[in-house]
Amino acid sequence: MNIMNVEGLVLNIQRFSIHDGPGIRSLVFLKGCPLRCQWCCNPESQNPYVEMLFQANKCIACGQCVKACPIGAIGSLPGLEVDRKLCNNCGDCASVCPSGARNMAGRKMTVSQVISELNKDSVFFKYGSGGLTVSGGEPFLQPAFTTALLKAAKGRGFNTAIETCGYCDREILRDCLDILDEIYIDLKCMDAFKHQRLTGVKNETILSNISYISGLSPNHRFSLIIRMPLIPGLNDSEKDIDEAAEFLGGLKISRVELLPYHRFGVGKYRQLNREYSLEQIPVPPKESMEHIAQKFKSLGLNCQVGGK
Amino acid sequence: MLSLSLDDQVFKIGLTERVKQLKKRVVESTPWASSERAVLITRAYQETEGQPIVIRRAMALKKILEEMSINIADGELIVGNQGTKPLECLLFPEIQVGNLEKELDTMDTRPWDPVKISEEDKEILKREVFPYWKGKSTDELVYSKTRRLQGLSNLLYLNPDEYPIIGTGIVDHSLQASMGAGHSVFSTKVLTMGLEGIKEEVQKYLRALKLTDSGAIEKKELYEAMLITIDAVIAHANRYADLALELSEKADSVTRREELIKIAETCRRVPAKPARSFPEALQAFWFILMVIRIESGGVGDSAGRFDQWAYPYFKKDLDEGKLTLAEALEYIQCLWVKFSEINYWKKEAVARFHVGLRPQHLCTGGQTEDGLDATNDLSLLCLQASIDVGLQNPAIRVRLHKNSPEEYLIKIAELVASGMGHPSIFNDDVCIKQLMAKGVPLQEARDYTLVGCPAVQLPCKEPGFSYGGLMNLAAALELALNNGFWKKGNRQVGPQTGDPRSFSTFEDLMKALKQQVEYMIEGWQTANLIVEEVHAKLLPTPFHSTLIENCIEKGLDKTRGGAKYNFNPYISVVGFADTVDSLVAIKKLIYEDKELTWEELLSALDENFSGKEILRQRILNLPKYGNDDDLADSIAREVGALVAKVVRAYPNNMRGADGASGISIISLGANVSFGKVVGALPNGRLDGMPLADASSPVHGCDRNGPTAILKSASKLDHVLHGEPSILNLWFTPSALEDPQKLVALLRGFTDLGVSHVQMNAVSRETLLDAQAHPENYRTLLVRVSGYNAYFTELDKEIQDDIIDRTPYAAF
Ligand code: SF4
Ligand code: SF4
Repeated sequence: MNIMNVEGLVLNIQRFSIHDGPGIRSLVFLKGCPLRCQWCCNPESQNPYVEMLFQANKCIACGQCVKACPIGAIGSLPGLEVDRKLCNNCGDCASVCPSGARNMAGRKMTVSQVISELNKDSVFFKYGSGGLTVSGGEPFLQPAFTTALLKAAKGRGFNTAIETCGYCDREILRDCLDILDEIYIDLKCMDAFKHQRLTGVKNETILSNISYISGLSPNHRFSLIIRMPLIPGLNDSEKDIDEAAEFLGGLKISRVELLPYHRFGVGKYRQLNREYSLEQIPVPPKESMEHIAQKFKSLGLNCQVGGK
Repeated sequence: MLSLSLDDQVFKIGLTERVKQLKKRVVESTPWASSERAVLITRAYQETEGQPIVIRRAMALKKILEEMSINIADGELIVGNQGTKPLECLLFPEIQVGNLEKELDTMDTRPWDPVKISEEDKEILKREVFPYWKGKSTDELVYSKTRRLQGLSNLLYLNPDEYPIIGTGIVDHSLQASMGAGHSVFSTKVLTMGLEGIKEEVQKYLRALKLTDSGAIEKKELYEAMLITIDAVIAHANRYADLALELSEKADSVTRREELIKIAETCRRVPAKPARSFPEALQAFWFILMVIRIESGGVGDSAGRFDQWAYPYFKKDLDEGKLTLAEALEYIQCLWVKFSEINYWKKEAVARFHVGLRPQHLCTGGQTEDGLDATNDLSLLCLQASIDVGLQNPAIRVRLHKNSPEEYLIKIAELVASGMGHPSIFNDDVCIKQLMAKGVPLQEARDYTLVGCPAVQLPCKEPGFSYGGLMNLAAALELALNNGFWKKGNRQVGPQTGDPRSFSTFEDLMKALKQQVEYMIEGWQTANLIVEEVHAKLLPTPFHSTLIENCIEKGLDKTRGGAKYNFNPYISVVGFADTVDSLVAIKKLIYEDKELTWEELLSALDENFSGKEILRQRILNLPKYGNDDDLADSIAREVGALVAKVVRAYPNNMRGADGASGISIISLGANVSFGKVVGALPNGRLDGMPLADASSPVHGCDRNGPTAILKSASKLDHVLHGEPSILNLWFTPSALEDPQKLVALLRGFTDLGVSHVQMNAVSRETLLDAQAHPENYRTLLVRVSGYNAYFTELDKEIQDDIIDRTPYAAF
């Protein structure tokens, strides 16, 4: 099949993204992720299917969605909240909603459609190596689409980057190495049990993928960047940091980016009628982030707080 | 060519102690007015009764410059002022007596730009000034002439029988009608020839006059007036020299004594003779700017291409070891603080439109006549000085083109991030083409600079006065929807262009809109001609005319066509995006999808959408200008071109007919007051709400971020518009941390052919307002890695955290 016709489930395309790779980028969020990190700030990207979101503060209570829903999932709960047990995410409510309070997270797009969105900002990509960053969800959960998209973008001279959790088959990764300029892999926690508890999966595959890519990096042009989300009390203990430092010290990576925990995603859980389990965790102070960064730096690692 | 690198020590110095003190003096001042200038000009006019107006104007300037109070503040290196303390608003009874008298007791308590004035000064004004000027000032004359034209005063004035006037907010000429010309550019002739050299030139032409030639007498009078003013300005500089010497004797340190002696020497030298050094060039410039302010009382005068004209002096002093980089920077910082001392008195109606407006422009970068990059070390120091000084003035206007160097762009990005609301960024490619489309040859066009708010201008080849008032485009649309009837004013204002219910196609509506625009522009042009005629008659500016190219040669004052180029002023178009989005909604819902009738829409508008929230929400979620959406953007292009073509049909003014300037889509703060006179609009905007800012999308309708806004703006026909349109982009501070990102954005901006952009850091005040009024800030984005969020959708606690990390808007 022509790569331009490959279809994927896209959550959102965000133009002028400036913290996810060099220059100005368009960030293509794909839908679906094998992990369930407790701190996830994009919960609407987790499920590999289209989902209906409800933003109560936009709703004008016109009742049109109630009429439109073929199975009566709206109307029985207070505040026009949807009964998630009934809702099958068909989207009928969103298509009649005048205010955009109901909308559908995720839509099928072909590579060609995504590329035409990317083209809109190509004039900005030219400068400072801007381009495409595929993110998620987990891009490698849709390997054919991701590979085709990266290939098509590269073919147009865009700088290409991917943000992956690293939880994927090694072959899929390997096939993309030649069409990537930047690879961002998350390192969430070295402790296997803790990792399982915090994210729902073991970290073996992830760690071995990181080592594998790092081993290949001298023969490729891509840069490997490790991103560490730091969640106070969950994965930022002395021990966590020391273990991570030791692991990373033995690898060939271009830099480590520390991503301090933030709570921007809290509202999204509400829109999905889901619980946010980390209500009580404070945002880490700048100093503690700098302190950790210092530790990495002292081991000769290039480290910064926040995405470049 | 740059020789400095950005790691040079000079970029790390910051403000010196001296400049900190000077800045403090300005920041701690409040706007005030005194009777001094008003009294002096009144006496001067009384003394010259019956003489030709140019001579009277010259004698008046002479008297003011001889007798006004002058001072030199502690630590100042550049001296000269328009008032004795910072922020004095000079009063111009010859221009604004009617308003002054009426507002004398309210000016210090009004909510917009209050101005303090002492009881004693009020008494003096009432006793000595007002009685003399009554019925003689230009604003009164403009008003009485305008009022005789019924249709025009119906369009301009809320109540045509009441003076001082309040505008309708449909077409507005209150700024030009109540102030001097302004909008001029500094003349480097002063630096190269000195006033004495210019004096010789005037004398040469005076000698060559044959009094039997027609018009020769008037020329002779002008030349004589010019000579009076030149001598007066030289004498004025000498007063500063004397004062500096006097102060030097009392100076409390040897260093200060020496500085004052040097200042005295400088003021004896310039502007009489050509400048020989960087400090002399700066001092000469400053004197001239002050004198022009005192002579003409306009707004928006510009230092022109400062980094170009000051560079030879800077370079020579550095090469000869007379100046270090650090000293040069301190001189620039001192000058920058002086810019913030200037203030204007505006009548309430104007203050209300243009709150806080006191721009002093200065331009950097761009190209040489030959099309090479003109950026130099001084350009970088100018930007650095603005970062260091941290004040709004001088309002930096940077020129960009595809070969602008990286270092320059990085400094621009740093200045943006400093949160002072400048620089304003202009695209050479577009501005040069705009001038060429008016018939200016390429090489001359490459030397353009920016004045006013802002307009492209050729340094010293135009008379200034390029600003020509405002038009409310949203009002034009509303008139087209109501057969010319103005709902808020409850009267017929525009022509009867038909009931929209009878418009069978979208084009019928566009035709009606065009007729309303034509009617407004016809009124605007007439109103301008009245103002210009009155200026030419009553406000010639003989001193300034010595500096404008061709005035001496032609023997014509700049208000009467002496300048080399005399383009018609441009008109500022307000309410652009609201109009575009409204047309998109009409086109889609009524003509394409046919899901709405005119009847339904018009009644929803009449009822301010009450009970029609479903319709309103439906409309709010339609395509909007500012999102790189081709449908909306093509209507934007069509509407811009429609207005521009109507305006460009008027190439003439009182000074000549060199071509039309065109339109600038800009709001100058008037979008708020203009919004009050327009009812609900088809884009879902409610009755009386502010209109969109400049050429930016409607507040909250930009859903795709800054690159999409730039793309939309790039689809306008900027060259046809003839003047740059203002585009504001807002960023939270985190988006401004890495200058490289802004550099890429600016490079894209240059390539796209957008005329202007200004990038603003969102201030703490804005975020607080967004927290309180989320409905106005739906699209305010906060970006972090892998995530972006709409500020208004974040939890309060998170919003508070972001607010804590955001600096206050500075002074
Ligand atoms: S998505 Fe479909 S099933 Fe779910 S609430 Fe909307 S209309 Fe009903
Ligand atoms: S259709 Fe939309 S606005 Fe109307 S009640 Fe449903 S969610 Fe609210």
